Amino acid sequence: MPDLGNQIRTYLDETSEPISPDDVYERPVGDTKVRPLTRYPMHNRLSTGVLVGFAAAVAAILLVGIPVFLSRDTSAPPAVDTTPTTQATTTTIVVESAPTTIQQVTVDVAASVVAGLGTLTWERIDGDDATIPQSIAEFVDGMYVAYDETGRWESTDGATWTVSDRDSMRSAYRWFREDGDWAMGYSEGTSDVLRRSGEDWVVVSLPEAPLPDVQGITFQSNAQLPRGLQEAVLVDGSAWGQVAWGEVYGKFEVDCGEPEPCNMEPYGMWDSYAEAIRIENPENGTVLAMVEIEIEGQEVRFVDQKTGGVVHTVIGTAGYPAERIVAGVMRDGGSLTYAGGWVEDESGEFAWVDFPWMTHAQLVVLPAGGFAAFEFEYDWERQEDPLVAATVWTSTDGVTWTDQGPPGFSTEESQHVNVQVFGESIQATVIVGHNDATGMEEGRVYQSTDAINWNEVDSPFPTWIDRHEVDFGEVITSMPQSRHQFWVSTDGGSNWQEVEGPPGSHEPSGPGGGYGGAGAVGEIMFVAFGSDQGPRTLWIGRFEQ
Amino acid sequence: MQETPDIDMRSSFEAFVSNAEKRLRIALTAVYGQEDGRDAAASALAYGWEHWEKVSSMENPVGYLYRVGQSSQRRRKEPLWAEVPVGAMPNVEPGLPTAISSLSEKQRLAVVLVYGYGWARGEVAAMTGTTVSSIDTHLARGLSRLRSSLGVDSHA
Repeated sequence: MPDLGNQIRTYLDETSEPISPDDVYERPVGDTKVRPLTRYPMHNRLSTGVLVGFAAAVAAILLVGIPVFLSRDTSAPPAVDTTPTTQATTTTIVVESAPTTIQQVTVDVAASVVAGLGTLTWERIDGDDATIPQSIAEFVDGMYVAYDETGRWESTDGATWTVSDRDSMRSAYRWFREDGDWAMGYSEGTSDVLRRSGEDWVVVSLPEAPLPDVQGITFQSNAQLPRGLQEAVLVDGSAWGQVAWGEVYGKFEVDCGEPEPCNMEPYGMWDSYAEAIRIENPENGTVLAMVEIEIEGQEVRFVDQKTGGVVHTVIGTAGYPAERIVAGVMRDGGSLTYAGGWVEDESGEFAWVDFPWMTHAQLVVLPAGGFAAFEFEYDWERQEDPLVAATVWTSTDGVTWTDQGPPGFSTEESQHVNVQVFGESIQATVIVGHNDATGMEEGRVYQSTDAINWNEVDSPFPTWIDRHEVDFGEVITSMPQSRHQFWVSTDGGSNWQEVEGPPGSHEPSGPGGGYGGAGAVGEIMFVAFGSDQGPRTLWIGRFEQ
Repeated sequence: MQETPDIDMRSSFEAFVSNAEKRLRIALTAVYGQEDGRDAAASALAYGWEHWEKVSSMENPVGYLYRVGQSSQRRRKEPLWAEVPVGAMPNVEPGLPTAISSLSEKQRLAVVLVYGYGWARGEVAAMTGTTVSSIDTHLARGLSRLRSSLGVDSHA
């Protein structure tokens, strides 16, 4: 039997009929119109899995920092000082809790001895979306905590969970561990930033963002940036507007020559995680602009359909609270680059800051305090080594930023760089390619404690990993091929050894998807499931020395 | 269909179809199944023909038309996957359609294009507007699930 790739190709070649130009010419008039798509309910549009993944990715962005500065300019670096502009308001809501306890069954246990670490015992627990949360957020104060679309989950042993009514948390999907009391949640189709104050949750209402003039084009918006993830700002001519999940609203000032809005209509969704709007000139029906918003992993992309730049005008990365920096959004593509976010001052008020770094940047909190933004410029038209430039910016307060030049690690021939911070260690993973034989990403890993001095370390794991801190070190999990693979490091990531994965991880319910999660001291917890709804399997790994 | 008397325009469009049709059709088939995927590709190409002057000047017309094809599929329903005809494809696992249907859209797209048709991951990323690392993730998880569904343990 040929390999799967050949089978797939044979199957589709034999069952998919080619389209000839005549087929195209003969299609009925009007059949080619790009039609609005049916809108989907909120839970379909932005699934918890996506939110969790997004939040996790953002957390990774915000948590760590990296770079070392190889070609540092030792002369006085340029500093950019921006002026806070607005203040915050808050609203208090009371959280009601209605827990339900659900018993689960342990179906399998396996143990293996790991050199130098003692015995690793895996416990497998089968359940479903009513009994197992979709991800494990953290382990604090003797309790596991998880958030998903169902609500807030709690467990003291990792196996039996209670879940609170989703309305009490407004379907919060992220518990911001950075300072322990942040969350994001939904409320009637919009998202809020929540901060816990005692037993209550406070809705942090961020100030409006005065968007700047960039290269002669005026950005206008009255959107709030955490909600601004749902915002679209057209920059084609003078058009502008905003979009929210489930709603399209705002006003538009477009090329029809009048200050009043031209016709604007919801354009529908491009896929499960995207929204688009269309602006139409009522005089002649001309579509003036379309904007698509898509959340994929950590990126929020605003794609200008009018220019046809669906692919090559990829824009934007956004982040959620990282200590005092609440959110950031960037835009690049064409002649436009732009970044900004809210920064909280010592009194707890937020002010909008125009960040000096541009394009795709990874914003991290340095272990010793302060922030670093790693600005990477990619040329995705290049099939190989698309990373063409990298710059590091640092800041002590999130407001004033210093250009530190290129990072102090090699980005040569790289496809992607990922920066993460774990504890006191900053790690930069430079991916140079994919090895089809092993199914692994290949690249270089650099480590630093101060973001200035870097050492290359020998690290076997691929990019997409779940990393957990335990009392003796760290555990890395990954699913590079048809099995879970686990690595353990006890020296902060300098050396790793592969260990046996949990029982049943080869089964369909396991590798199909899932999210790792934090474990208690000496524990690994890993959740896998086949879909947002339906069966889920949870594994808990425990080391005993 | 608008009248386009320009023979050069028709010629350039047909050259484009010759080069891009299969890529577009297979990509949309990976998402929507054979029938709806072909229909989406045909709609996208027809849109491309109607707007050929604009589309032909784009940096990535296939990527653009891929999105057009997506938007032409207004309803969400489970893709239908043609069965493997008995005896017609002896080298194809009969359970392959079912296994493919178990993947998410993005997993299917990555697995079919990269693993089945040898696209570079950057090409898939360019078409779909995602990152290479995202494609990697969908590819690896999709392959993992596909192998599990078919009971294939090796990396074959």
